Amino acid sequence: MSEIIVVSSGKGGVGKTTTSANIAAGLALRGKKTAVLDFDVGLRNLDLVLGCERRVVFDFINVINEEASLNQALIRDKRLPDLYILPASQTRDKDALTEDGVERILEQLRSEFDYVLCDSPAGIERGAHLAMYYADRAIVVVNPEVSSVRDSDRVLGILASKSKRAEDGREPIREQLLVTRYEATRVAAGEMMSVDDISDILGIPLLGVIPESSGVLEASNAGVPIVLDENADAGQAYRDAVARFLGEDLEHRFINVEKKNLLKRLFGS
Amino acid sequence: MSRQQESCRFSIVPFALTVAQPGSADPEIFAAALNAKLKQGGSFLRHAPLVLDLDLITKPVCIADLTNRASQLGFRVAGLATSDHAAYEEQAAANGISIIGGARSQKPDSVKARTATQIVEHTVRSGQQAYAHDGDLTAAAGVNPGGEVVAQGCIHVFGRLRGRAMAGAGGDAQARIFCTCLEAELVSIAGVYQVLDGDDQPCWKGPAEIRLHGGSLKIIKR
Repeated sequence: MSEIIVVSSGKGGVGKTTTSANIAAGLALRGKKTAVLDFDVGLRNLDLVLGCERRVVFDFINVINEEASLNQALIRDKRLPDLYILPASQTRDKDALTEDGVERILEQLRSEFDYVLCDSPAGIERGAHLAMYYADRAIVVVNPEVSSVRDSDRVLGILASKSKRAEDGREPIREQLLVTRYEATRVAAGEMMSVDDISDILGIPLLGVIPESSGVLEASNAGVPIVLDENADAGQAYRDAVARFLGEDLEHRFINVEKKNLLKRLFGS
Repeated sequence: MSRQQESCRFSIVPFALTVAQPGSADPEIFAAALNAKLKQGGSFLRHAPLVLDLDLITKPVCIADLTNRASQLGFRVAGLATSDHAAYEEQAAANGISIIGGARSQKPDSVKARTATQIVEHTVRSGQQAYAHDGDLTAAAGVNPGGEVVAQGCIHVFGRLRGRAMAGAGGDAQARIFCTCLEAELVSIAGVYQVLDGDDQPCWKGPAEIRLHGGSLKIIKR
């Protein structure tokens, strides 16, 4: 049974697009046929993060307006044969997204893919609403700071009340929490909210904790999702999150400060 | 001098009036009741405007009989209050008094049904509002920062109250807020509000009751 997943956060800049790209790539790595859609019409980024910006011919809005077929607009990743990207339009705005059009595209994708990820724009307006409206599951991305937690709390309230599942009175959207840009040393120093602080407020199951890492930025700039880098801690954290997403029970890593070994202590990390 | 001052100024001002609710249409019984009131020390009511509320009487009433007996005792009937306008319109006009309002009071036999407490099972999240329009509200799973619970009556919060709680939203000063863990941003009863800061609260993060006392909010450890 295929599923539609929204990646949402409310607040901007917390790592929704990075997470969408990495979870989608991680699922494809595991052999799941996955499509990832950029709902941020007018501020197209997902194609950059996945390194396919020079292959965009048609976009989401073209498909909605029936100027192109879905198969024409979907871009197949060059590294991962199971990963497909539907880019947003850069020249239009969110009003170009129609409820009927989004539903039609999602239903078609549902019949062809195992997982359909919707990369939500920031905010709680039209683009974000349509990205979450038809979802079966949600990955709520949050940074360890109070403003991000509050915005995610708001998004969780909307997921519970304004989604199609809620309106139809079906089983609610299955929500999971992904904490990004986590710095265990700063948490230990009391400068940053801990995973427990965040979970205490949001009260949904933890999908994973992605440590703050310079590798994420470099990978995004290079258009290579960090999940493909087996040696990067953030890459491993995304792999763990994907495994948990698929139902595996893994212990959480990167939450506590790692003790440096003698060599690292002597020569720095 | 402006023209307005020369002629007449109009404004709407609510006045407090004494309302008499006769239980019977018999003018003698009514007169006896008024007399008893005067003897009780109601002499300040003499020459005061009186509103006759007719809703307790089921039989047809002769307005002239009642107003005559009232004026003999020094009362001045200023108006009628009835839920049945049509029945008294003619009599009121004949006696030169107006019908002021409708059913002001509850009939004794129509006991008001208890309004059910609104129970919110899920956590009230940031941006959500739970509103109990005519009764109490119970938030069974806490209120997050940015969330809001409002009730005409009392509010009970199990779990953490971290958002806003506003009890007595219709003006009921007797309403109270109870919570098992007080971390609220703002509490209010009958429009009197207070923003809270953990530093100066003795019951912070503990069970508490908030009530209105002498025009200000009192936070009591529970």
